[in-house]
Amino acid sequence: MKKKTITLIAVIGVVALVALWLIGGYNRFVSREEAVGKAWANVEAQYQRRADLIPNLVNTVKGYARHESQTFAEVTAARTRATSIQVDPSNITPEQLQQFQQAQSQVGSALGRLIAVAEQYPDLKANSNFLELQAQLEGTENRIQKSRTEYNEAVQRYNVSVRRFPGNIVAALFGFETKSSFQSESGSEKAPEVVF
Amino acid sequence: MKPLSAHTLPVRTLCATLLCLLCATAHAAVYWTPERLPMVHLQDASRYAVNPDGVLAAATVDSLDRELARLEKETGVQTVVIAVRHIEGDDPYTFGQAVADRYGIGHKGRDDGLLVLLCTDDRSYSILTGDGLEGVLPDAVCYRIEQQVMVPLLKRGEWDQALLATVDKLDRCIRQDPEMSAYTEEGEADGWVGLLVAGVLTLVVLPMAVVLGRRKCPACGKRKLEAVQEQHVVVQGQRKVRTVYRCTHCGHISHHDRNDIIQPGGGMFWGGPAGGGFRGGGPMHGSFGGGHFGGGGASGRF
Repeated sequence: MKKKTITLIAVIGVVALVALWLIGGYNRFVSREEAVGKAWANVEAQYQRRADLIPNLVNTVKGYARHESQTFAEVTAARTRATSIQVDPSNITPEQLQQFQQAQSQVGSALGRLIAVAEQYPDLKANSNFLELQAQLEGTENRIQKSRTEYNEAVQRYNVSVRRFPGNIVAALFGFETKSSFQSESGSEKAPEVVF
Repeated sequence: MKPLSAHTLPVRTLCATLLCLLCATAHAAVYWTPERLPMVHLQDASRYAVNPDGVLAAATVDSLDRELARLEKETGVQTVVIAVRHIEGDDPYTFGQAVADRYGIGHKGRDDGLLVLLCTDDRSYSILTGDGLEGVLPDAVCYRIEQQVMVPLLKRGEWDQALLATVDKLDRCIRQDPEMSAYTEEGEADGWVGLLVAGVLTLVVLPMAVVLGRRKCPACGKRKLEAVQEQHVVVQGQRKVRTVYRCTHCGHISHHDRNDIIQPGGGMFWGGPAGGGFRGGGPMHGSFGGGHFGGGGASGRF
């Protein structure tokens, strides 16, 4: 009788420990996943910020360089394409990310061309409104880079905890899968060079 | 002693000149990295200007420190001003961002860090804002301050004036924001923690220390000794203070001698000749609050 009680207590103890471990693991995954979602929202917000700058920038350049309509059209088209891509933050697939990145890098290079065009107009280069827009654009590119880095860090933290033993058992049990991060940029993704 | 021969003097001069040159180039060739840059605020809470190459005059550093201490006290904004000759990588934005990330300038949550960087020999500069300052100092405003205040002075090589005027302008911009100027030192969270720590200390640690600090009774081994008397005695020619203990457990009487701090012929001294453990008058260490910089600000070259 007494032996039975001891066994029972031991079993309950072990079950309780396992349950605690599962709960702890689950909660850790949830909070890390949450952090990834937050970082992604920041990435999108920064790209959106750049997209919001474009109409203003185009209008300013238009005032001085009317004949560059093709460049304006390119920038606007790239912007429209990029803003139309929606990525589901809870389920970011590598393909989605690839698509998103590609569309955004097209915006980047179109903007680069727009700035290069603008550089050919001395009056425009001296326009304080244009110069401030350029500074804002540069700051926005910096923010984009920073948010991408932070997103990748959040993904890495999450992925490591999902993959590592014994956490991977909990992860598999509750269906937490690894997430994809930004790949190092190809040349076209480079921020447009802003020369002072 | 042999008189100097005709050729030793030039050789000596040459050597001395070479040595001087070597020292000078060694000094000039410091390309600072975020890791190596000395963060003076961490050693001394009242200092904000980092000036390892001596780019700025001591008076400038002083007045920057004073202004920025006032700014932090009144608006919460934590600023670091860095004036160096070269940075590694020659990219003021990346460097400034790395410094901000490394030390977490500004308060967590408020993210009210501000960083001003000047690299005189690289001829570059940068103003970086923490996330919480992007409203009051958007990129365009930072750019405007740089173009209108900083760059004209930098072009004339007036480093001191350039940084003083820039910091002054930033200071005024920040104070114009009602939310920033309404800052009161958020001691609440810290206060709670402090209170908790103090409570734990008094309720748990202190009694423990008192109990553990007590001597063991040589008779029964219990830490139940109670000091009952203190007397001055001379043991083997040395003045001692003798404390007499009585054990509250077994009633055994014992005593312990320690050196009298009043030495014959000398004044009072603390901690012995090996140097006291008192830090009186030393600077108070500062800290950064873990603020976040998301890439805001403006950088450029002159």
